[in-house]
Amino acid sequence: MDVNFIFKIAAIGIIVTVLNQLLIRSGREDQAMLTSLAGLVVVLLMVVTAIADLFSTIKGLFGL
Amino acid sequence: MTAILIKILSIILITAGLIMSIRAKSGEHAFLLSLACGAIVLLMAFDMVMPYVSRLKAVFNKASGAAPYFVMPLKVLGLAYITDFIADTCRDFGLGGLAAKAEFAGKCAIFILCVPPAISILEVALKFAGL
Repeated sequence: MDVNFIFKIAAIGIIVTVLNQLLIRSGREDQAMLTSLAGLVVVLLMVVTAIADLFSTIKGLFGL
Repeated sequence: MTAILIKILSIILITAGLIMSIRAKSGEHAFLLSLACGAIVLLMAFDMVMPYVSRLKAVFNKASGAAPYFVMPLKVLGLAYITDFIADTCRDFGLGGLAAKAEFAGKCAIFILCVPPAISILEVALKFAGL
């Protein structure tokens, strides 16, 4: 887990935003909404693993 | 050590730029990006500190009876870091109310952790007072 992780999340965010704009412009609002939702879920899953990692590290380090 | 610090600072700077560029278009991705950046930076910092803390812990364990006086503040520090991480991330995105609630929950947890030593101090005081 490194800088690449952050770049990955940012790239997903940018791609999903562009796709969202594209779909909205072409009149497919429902598909645009689903795309942004899917992007959000994917990023959320990635972030949750990072945060779980952080919490387990803190638990180990501080003896919680 | 300095190399890791420079790495962490550059990660934060890059992420700040990325968040600025995404924030206006999709705020939720910016929020998750900030969360991920915070988690990774804290992980790197804790990885840097971990060997020194365990060395200190070993020294305190050698002195019998002194270990609780090191472990308890360490636990409080850990709780404070977790709470602060979440509260700061919430506050960054304008959720001051949620941040305050997270801090309150953290304070409650720290209070619970502090009760047993306080009770032992009070018991000693009562013993001296002859009650």
